Amino acid sequence: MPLSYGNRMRAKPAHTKGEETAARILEATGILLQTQGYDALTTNRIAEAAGINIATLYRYHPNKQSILIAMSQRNRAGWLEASSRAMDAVLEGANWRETLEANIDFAAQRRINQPGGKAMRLAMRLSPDLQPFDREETEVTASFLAKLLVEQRAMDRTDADQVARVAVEIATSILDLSLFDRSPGDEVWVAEAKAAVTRYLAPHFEPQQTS
Amino acid sequence: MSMSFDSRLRAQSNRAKDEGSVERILKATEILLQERGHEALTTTVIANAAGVNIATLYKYFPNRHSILIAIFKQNREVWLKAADRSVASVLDGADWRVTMEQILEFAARRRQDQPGGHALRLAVLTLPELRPFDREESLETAAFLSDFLTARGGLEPTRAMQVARVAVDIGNSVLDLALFNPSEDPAIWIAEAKAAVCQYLMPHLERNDAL
Repeated sequence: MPLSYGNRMRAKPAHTKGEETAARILEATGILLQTQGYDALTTNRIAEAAGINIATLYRYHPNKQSILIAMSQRNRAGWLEASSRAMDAVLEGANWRETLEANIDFAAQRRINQPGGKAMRLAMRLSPDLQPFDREETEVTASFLAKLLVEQRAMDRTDADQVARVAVEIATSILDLSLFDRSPGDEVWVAEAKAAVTRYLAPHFEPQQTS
Repeated sequence: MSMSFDSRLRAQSNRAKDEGSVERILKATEILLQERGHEALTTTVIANAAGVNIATLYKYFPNRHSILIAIFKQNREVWLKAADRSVASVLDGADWRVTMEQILEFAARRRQDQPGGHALRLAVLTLPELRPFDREESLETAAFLSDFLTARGGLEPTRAMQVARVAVDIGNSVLDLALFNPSEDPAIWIAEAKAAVCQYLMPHLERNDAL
């Protein structure tokens, strides 16, 4: 899998008590995010919920932003792997539309099913400290789609990069509408994200039908 | 210049002189935004640039955020009028696609051409104090589009509002890519925003003509 991103991860701690503590911190943070939201999150509360000393927590993380980045990084690997696999599947002949829709479902599940997924997404979106980290992920995701557009549709590299950035941006921000507005239910925004992205990309994947 | 932000102002008396000071404060802030970005803004710097006493500034604005909000609201009046006019013109028979493209062009110009427009948009995206105003504006813009989708596309009002929210979100988020990719030509994102919004709306507006 061409995960160029892999080398950015810090070396995993040996399978020890340290690793267990690191995991407990992330787990406790997920639960707190889910029940109380990002604004109520403090390193003290996290340490308490994780059943560890605050001094121990600070050995792993200087602040709560660092914990959120670690959480996001943990499930980022799974996401990037799935996205990369999806694009490879299309290259091998899978239907582009169905595959991208499945990938959007995957993105939605990250927000919905994971403990604190929505609160974390909200923090990523609103906190200036976390925004650059979020943008970086968007760019890596877009690079997979750009690669597909170049290799399968013979698009110019620069154009493919731009179209891919736009497609990923559209999907992300429509899925994020569910963070700010609970009334129509998540499935509405997921369906619209799929519609918007596939309609935007259709002229690139099916040029003869849409011109 | 309309003064719909009256409610935010601390004092109202002595109109002619006051309007002069308020105008000067807003103008100076726009120029400072343009030159240095929102992070460098302080009330002292603004008062100096506007040539008003800091005490005078505080008579009208409790803090720098309230000045940004006043500028934001002033722009919003102009924007919503334009959105309203566009919808009216399409209902009068103008081509929906051309009109949608014009309104996106207008939205892009707000960010690009107006002094400090870029920095103000960035501030709106990163400052928690300003976010609710942006959300409110998006909803108001969506309401215009929603009326149009009901009148022209025959969408049921709840559904029309969902589609309108998505379309506005697509327009905003693609145009915002210009903020994060300053090295690239902003015209790219304008063109893609137009394509993405029109492709998304097409099935709702050309159901009959499609045959």
